[in-house]
Amino acid sequence: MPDDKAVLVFSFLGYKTVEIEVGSRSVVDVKMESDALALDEVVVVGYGTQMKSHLTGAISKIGGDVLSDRPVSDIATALQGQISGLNINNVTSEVGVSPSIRVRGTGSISADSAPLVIIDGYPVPDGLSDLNPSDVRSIEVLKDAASAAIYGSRAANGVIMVTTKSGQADKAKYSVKFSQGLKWAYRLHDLMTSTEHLGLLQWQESLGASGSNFVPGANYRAASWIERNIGSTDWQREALRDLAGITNVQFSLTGGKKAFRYYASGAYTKDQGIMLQNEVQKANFRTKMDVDLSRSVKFGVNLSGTYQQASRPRNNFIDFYRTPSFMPVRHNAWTTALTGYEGFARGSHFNSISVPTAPSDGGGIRWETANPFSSANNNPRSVMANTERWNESFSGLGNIYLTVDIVKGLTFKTSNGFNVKYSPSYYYARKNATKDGEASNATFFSTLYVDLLTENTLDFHRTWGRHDFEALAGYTAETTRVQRVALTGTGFPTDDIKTLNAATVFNLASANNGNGAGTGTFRYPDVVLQSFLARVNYAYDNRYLLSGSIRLDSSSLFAGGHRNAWFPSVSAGWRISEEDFLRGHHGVSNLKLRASYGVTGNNNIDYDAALEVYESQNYVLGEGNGSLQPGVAPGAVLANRDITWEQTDEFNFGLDAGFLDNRINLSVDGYFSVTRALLFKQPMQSFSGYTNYWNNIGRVRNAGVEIQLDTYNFDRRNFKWETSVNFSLSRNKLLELGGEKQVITQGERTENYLARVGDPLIQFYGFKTVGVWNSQEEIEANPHFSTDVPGGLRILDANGDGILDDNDRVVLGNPYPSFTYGMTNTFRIGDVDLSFLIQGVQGVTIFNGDIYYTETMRYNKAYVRDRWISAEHPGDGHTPYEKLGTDMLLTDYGLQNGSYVCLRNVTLGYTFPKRIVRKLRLSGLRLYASGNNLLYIWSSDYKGINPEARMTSGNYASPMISGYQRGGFPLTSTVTFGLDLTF
Amino acid sequence: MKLSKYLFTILAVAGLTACEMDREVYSDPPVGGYAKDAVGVNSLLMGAYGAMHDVLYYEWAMTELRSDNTRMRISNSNSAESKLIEQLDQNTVLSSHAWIDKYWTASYHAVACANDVLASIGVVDDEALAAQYEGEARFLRALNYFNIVRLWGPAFKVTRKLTAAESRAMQRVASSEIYNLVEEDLRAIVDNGLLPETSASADLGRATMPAAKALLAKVCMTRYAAGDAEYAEAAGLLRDVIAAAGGPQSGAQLVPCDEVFSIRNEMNAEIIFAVRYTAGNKGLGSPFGGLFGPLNNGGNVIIGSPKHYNYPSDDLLAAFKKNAADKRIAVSYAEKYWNATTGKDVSARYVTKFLSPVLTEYDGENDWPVIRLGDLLLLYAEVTAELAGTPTAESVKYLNMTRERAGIATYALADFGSLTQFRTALREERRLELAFENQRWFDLRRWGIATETVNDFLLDRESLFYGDYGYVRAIDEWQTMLPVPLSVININPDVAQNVGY
Repeated sequence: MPDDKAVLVFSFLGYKTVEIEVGSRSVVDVKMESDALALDEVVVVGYGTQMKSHLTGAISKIGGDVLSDRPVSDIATALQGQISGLNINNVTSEVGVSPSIRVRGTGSISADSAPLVIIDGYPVPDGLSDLNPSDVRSIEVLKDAASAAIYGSRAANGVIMVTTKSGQADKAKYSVKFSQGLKWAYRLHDLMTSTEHLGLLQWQESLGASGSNFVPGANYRAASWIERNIGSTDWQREALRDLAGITNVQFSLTGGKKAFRYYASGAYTKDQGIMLQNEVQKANFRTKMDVDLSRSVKFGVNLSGTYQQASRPRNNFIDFYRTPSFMPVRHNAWTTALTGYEGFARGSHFNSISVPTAPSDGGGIRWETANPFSSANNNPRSVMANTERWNESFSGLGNIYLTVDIVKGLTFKTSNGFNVKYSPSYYYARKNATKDGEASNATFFSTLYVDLLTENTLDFHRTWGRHDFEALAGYTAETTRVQRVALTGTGFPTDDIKTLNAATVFNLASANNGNGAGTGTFRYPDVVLQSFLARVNYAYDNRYLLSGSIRLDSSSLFAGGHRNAWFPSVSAGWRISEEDFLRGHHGVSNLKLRASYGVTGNNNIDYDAALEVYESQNYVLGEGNGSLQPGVAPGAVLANRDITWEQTDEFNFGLDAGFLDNRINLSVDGYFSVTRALLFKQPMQSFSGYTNYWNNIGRVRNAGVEIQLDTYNFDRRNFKWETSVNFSLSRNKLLELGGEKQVITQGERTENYLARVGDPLIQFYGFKTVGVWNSQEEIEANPHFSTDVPGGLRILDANGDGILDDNDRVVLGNPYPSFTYGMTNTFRIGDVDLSFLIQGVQGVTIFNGDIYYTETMRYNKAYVRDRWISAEHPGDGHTPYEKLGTDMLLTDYGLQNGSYVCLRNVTLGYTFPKRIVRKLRLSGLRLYASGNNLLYIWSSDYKGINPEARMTSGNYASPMISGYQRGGFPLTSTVTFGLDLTF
Repeated sequence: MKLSKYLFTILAVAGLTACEMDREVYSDPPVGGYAKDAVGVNSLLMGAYGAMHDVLYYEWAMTELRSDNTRMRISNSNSAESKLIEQLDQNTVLSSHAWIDKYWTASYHAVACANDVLASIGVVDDEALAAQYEGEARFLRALNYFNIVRLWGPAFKVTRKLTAAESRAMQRVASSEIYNLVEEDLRAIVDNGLLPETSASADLGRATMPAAKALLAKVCMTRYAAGDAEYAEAAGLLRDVIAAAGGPQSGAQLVPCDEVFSIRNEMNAEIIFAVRYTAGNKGLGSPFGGLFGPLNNGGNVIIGSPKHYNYPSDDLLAAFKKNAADKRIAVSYAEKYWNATTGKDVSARYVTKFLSPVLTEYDGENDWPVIRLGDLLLLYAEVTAELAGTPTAESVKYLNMTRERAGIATYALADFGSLTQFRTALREERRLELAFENQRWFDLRRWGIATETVNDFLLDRESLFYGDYGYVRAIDEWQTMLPVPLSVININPDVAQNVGY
């Protein structure tokens, strides 16, 4: 071939291939364009990578670039609405609290349905929150069991794989990003002031209502009288910062020579929650080094560390909106004269105060005694001012890896590392901080988490003609241990010394291994996981794809004889577009069918599920006041030595299609799975002395559809428009429950949740209401409870037997959404880019726990409007008066439609043209503005302020309790301005 | 060769991190459970005593609150907690009642702890010690089942550790069968001399023979009627116990009123059996100061935020005030406290019997007397009169002892024209002597007058308070039994619920 006919072909992942005739040139300048329409790319899979075209499972990939401009301090929040089948829920809007992440709905009823998070091959629980978004090259979600089965026993909830950036052999490149954002509360409750409330009661009295609940009693008159004298306090506003901010600074450096490449980055984030005292500061670094020791041996180190300091207020937002508006934050001269107290105002200060009352006979002012607010708790602002609560964490993840090319195509890799996280926390409350007379007290609590991992794999890859063959075999072993230290002390001589060395009394250890207040160190038994794994991939002519994998896991969580489990998978694909009749077709440019089957497991159980546990339960004996006698008692959970892995068998069918030269890309996946031997902390008959035990019971079925549609609507030089839509739908059904027909679990309050065979896994269960009782006569004439009164909820005699009892409970709904969706539109007009992300959840029911609070039922206009007042003024017939009558948490009254659609993000950016950038001696410059959660639309049926909130306290965080919203924090809207520089 | 060097490094690293699967902690639990020797059994026994703390936490709500002694503090409160109290106060509970569930769970847990001790007695080599531990565990089991059967009637008879499947299939057995178990346990102690007459000073607080006899006497007087041989047995048992406690012949020989409950005089001669508490942040403090102390007292009575539960009724106060000189008034309750900040008295009614200053909330020193001499003297007065069919000199003498101690007028035999008159006086005396000690409800049930007394209280005697409700109704007999908790029915819908629920 003559030299001048030589053609150089430049191809690079993600860029359009460029062919250049060399001619006689000795230097060739190539400009490569990014190729948005490229079909093939490398996808990270368990213990390796694969070409996207060769994938046979359901794996979604998202590039790191879509995450880096988002104004959040937790990466998971930025993933919301981006990937089909990945449901991310901001259970609270506090910063420093990770959202809940679910892959493909709920497959398990064990303690935790969170997916396995793998960062650069290393499993890291809660790993996403420690990441610097700029470090992320890609995130892959392994959704189907066949893809996840290589992670065996922990993969049943799906696997999220994060790959961080690595150095490139190039001259050093610097990147600096800076952004500053502002936050505010999206919406607050519409509450009555004390005066408005009094007016309402007076109006009720004028309508002829009677009873101390209905007419303006002395306490309500007093509240309004005080308020008229000193003005009202908007307690919701008192909880919030005037303006919260978020600041992000990121720096990275990458480069290297041919045999030595490096990547280093650092980031600092300061994220304030909208509530006072809620703040997270995070500093983060990562260094990555890759060295070619010889042609066949490569060595690398990946080190990252995160330091985080977080503070959260001791109070909930609920504490604020339950405080009546007449209560001032601090006493002023007028209230001091009234009560005799100064400083922060407390409910108790207003006890037994004398207030003027206008007698009905029109005589002069008389004085009466009133207790307008009888809360024993201090006002929430005073609690904030007198308590400090912070926690710090340092996490370090280190990994050393070595690869050896033994012979052509055969590579050995060993990767060894540690993941250590130390998180101390401290709480200090001054004297009288939360309650009158409370002694100053402090609690130190720390957790040390140590995880050691070795992974060793042999990989063989060879192509013979049309045969492409890859095989993988490996051995891994992992040890995890957790150690806790707790110190609780009281009796501080002064509030000036807040450290525990000044405490004079230390609380003895309480039960629950130091989770509560107590003093001691607690070491949990090590958990060991040992595994063998293998995988084979085969492709014929790029058309027929076949893959199989298997993993053997042994876990020390289970008792001997129940430790081992096999997790196999098979999958196949057919690339129809590679067949002769479609090859080169422009209309149908890509078409692939996929099918897979796999088995995954779940071992998310307490370390002691199979162990007999005795807890300390001491006593006192002896003369005088007696002395402590150490004692033990069986814990509340009965050991079950027979438990073993929970296993999920899943089938996945997928279709990938590209039309019009891949301008339209469609990916559809359908799945069907059955989880058997469900690991379940089952309620036990309390008369046995135990309240729970772990068991493998029953089976649950999950089925669903996920659709991802990416279109390049316009692809001109100066105008580009891309749309990406995802849609997920999942349904579950309980097939069997260890011979039981149903299991009913009580929630945080008295509400009940039902798991019944043949129905969705969890359902709200209780009494169906049919309006409000109108009169005592009506109650007597109909089936009723002994607690029923006029104005209270009337319960349906569901079984029609003429009496009301527990047999009248029925299914009231379920907490699962009908479907979820997200849509991103990205426009590029010249140097300007604009994108917006809409995300929504449809057909979901919430149990709104606000109804538990008397103050909600009394002051929240959403619950007061159109309520029953008297037989003559029954309101709309189904709104009860405050909390009269039968406990409304036992009924459907708290169930509300939690569907919403929101404008999750809008980003408007401007990339400076090259000529300007060059003048500034930069290689890139971009300015942008980004807004999060700027618009929400939700159902009028929902009476709260945050349809995403699903907070319940720790004790009740059981998967059998779902959909409960205990007084949500307000939603947070954010606007950010940012600057990205590269040079 | 270079490659072998790398391989060596790899293997060394891999070898370091390789793991051992069989950890000792995951090996089989030792045969025979936790206890391997007497020390182990003793710690289980201490756990069984400790379990009584959870039982007592809500026992007042199952007993005093439902009787005419106490009530809820304010009417018509709508908070969730007030609703729980209101339902117990007016005996209109539902099976979902959270406190009933807690009391039920705590009682049965205490039974399970006692069963655990009994199952491991075999590892105690010292025969005397084995007998004593067995006796103590049987006493605790009997005490709890006696409460359970009186509150729920038919119950689950659990005498050993149950598997999940066994408990799932289990049904309640008749009250008589539970009473048989209670009697069997107590008679085993009495007949086989399992417990010592007294405890060594370091062991004060353990169940003793007098405690077992006293409990058996009470069981006999509750289960049987005056014509039964077992009822008569109670007289002898009580005589033994009173003799063992020094055989007082007059009120002057008793521990003075204000010293019976004093924290400086714990386990005094009056106390036959008490559940013991101790302050000092050991997790063993008495919660009752915090539960019963007055709301928002600003630390003037007790620090923290006391709940002001177990509010003395107007009716009980009126009964006390018939004798203004009654020394028990000051011991039992208060109607005001001194606010040191404002320099004024604040009116507030609250129970003081178990109240002492604390440094930490719910960390009081006060023991809870379960069986004390005052109770037994009055039981003896009752049993002698009932057996004779008429008040006797003996029964009046024992009725008078606590009155004499309280500094109020005593009765003469001639004051009583009939057994009914004597009963009225005795019942009134028991009410005052044992006010707030969780005895009243069981007494009313034992005398068969719970329903009428409660209705009289709700609709007449305390109507000034309950009239404010507008919906307080008379209760029926079935409402004197508690419902089996909903959590139990939830697990097994075939479990028989009490009538009416």
